[in-house]
Amino acid sequence: MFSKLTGWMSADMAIDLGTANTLVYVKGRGIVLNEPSVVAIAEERGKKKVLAVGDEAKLMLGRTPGYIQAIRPLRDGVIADFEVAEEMIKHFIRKVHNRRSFASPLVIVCVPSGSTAVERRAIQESAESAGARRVFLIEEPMAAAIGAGLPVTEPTGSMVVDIGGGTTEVAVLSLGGIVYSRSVRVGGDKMDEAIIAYIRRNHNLLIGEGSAERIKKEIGSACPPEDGEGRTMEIKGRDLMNGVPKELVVSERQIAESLAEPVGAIIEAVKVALEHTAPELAADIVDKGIVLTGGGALLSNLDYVLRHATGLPVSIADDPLSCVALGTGRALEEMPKLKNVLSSMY
Amino acid sequence: MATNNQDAFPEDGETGTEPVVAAPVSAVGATLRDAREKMGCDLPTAADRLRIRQPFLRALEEGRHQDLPGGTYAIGFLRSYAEFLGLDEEEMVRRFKREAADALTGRAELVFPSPVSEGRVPTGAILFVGLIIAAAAYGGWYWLSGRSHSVANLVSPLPGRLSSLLDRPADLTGKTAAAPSPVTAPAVKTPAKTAPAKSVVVATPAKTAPAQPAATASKTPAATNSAAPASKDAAVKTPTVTAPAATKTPATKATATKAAPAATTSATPKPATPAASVTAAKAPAAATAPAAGPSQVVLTAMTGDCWIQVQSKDGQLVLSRLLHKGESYDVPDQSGLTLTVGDAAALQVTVDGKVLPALGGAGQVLHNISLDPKALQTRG
Repeated sequence: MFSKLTGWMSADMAIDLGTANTLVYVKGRGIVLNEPSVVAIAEERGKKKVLAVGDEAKLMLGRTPGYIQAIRPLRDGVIADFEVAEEMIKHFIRKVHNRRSFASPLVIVCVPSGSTAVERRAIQESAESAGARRVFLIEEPMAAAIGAGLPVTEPTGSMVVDIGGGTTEVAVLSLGGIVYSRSVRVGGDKMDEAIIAYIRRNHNLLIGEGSAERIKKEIGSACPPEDGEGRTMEIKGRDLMNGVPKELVVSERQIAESLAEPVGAIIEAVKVALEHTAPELAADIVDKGIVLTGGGALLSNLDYVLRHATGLPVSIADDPLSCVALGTGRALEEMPKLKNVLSSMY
Repeated sequence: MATNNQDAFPEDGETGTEPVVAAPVSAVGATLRDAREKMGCDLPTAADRLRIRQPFLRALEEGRHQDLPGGTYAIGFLRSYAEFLGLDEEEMVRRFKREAADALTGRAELVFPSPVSEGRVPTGAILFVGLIIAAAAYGGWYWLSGRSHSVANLVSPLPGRLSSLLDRPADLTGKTAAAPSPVTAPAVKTPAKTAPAKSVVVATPAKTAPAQPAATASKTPAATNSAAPASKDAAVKTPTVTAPAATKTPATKATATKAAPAATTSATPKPATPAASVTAAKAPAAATAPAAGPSQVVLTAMTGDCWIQVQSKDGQLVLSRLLHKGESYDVPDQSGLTLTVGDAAALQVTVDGKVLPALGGAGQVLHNISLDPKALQTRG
């Protein structure tokens, strides 16, 4: 009863704990925070201290002196560094929950559908030790579908492809549940890595993760342009041959070539999911098609490539970056109604 | 297919968004159709390229929003189509949303299928109503029972062997009698003290309780019987002074009082002599005492258990209890007491040791019988 009382006073929140970005949705206020999942840790006399979290820490990524470490605590959609992840969640909760920590909030966190019980427990425990009163978990594809506004509770199949930073979730939903889901550990990060590897192999130039991400956002494309080289971009990095900083120009065609592998993996995942879909649901999906959410949906021409690979209509959700956070937030707002999409490890 | 929105934007301007908005049918649909016709592309080709079924594209062009699948899908289709036609997607989506606000109910209502309740377990509402009824019933019962349940003298009278330890006679005499009474008080006590000793000598069957009544009883009849003709008034009153001492003792065994006269008649010759000396010594004292002693009324359940209730003048409950067979109750010295009796035949009323006839028939319930000794006697 007491926890109910404090529940009124605390700001319950939904957290989309993503590999790349963490979004926090506060009940009644909407998305209030959207920052990169990066923590900068300084080591002073053997003691680790949080130096910066979010945007500030992201600027430090790859530019740190010896005593500072800029860490991304999540890898492939799950927690890789437990303590740092806990610090990050604590920081975000404190930033949003400005009511002097009188009452601790109820928190809903989304987890990849393909995550193991150990990984889920790690996420739940770190949220709990970060000061949550109660923690519920929601599967990412379900949150994404709710956030995209799909009729998930109707007896009709909906297919959602959520391309996040670490994972790509492909799921078929019907009657408020996940009929089939497939999670591949390919996402924005893998695309960045592919770009880095391609440029190093073809141009002998080493670029950082941040530069790779910028290239992907600016001229990244899922398929090469029909003619010519497409858009171009100047990139800077270190020459591997003689070790000096160097600048060169890459084209859209080159980047599309480098992204062929991760994009192929995503297409493969969608195809496998379609193969495993029951015929009635497949018939629904033929009519309405696939909905893309997540940051990866912003990769230009990805919908085009998927459309041609699957022969299905492919549409991109409104505001794909915040679909998962919005869906998790809606689960929080309509908690009694959407109770059965939430789970808890204990 | 690598379209650039920046390139597409001027084209959108050419189609003229402003004049088309005024079109009555569907501004978005008309824009789409115009763009498609300008492109020289027919609907099947577009449907084939976009993999969107023709009926949906036609519904988009003709503004039949209700024929499109749910909100997200319709917007997705429109976006794909606008991109394919080289229109500004965001602008088209914005206009479409404004136009089809009725068809796109913003958020799809999410109603999860829930299992049909078995109906066996009472729901919360039923439990709640049940609780209220139970509380009301209890409250009503409490209120009703609380009205008739006032403070009553439920303390049973003190057993005689304990009360004999009290200095009650002294108190009583002190209260009732004036100056000479202190003289009588020790006089009363002395036989009480000596009586057991005597009773051993006399070898009366029981130990103390019967011995004392025997002693006192022997004393009183002796006084009444012997002194009755002489000084009747004094004789009637003297025992009343001693009566508290006497009645307390026989209270345990009321039968003793009844048996007492019988006993006295036989026992008078023997113990009477010492008793007589006591009474003789006391008689003058009693005689000298003013005739102010109150009459003693004793209620005894004779033939069976009997419920009695004694109320004072102002309706205050003095006693309400069940007298078990053989138990007796000394009516306190108060004026205006009334008695309600559950079984008139079972109750024996004794006034100053004189047994009155039964108040009524067996099982008869009598109300408001005055407990004034005189009234009782006249009633008898």
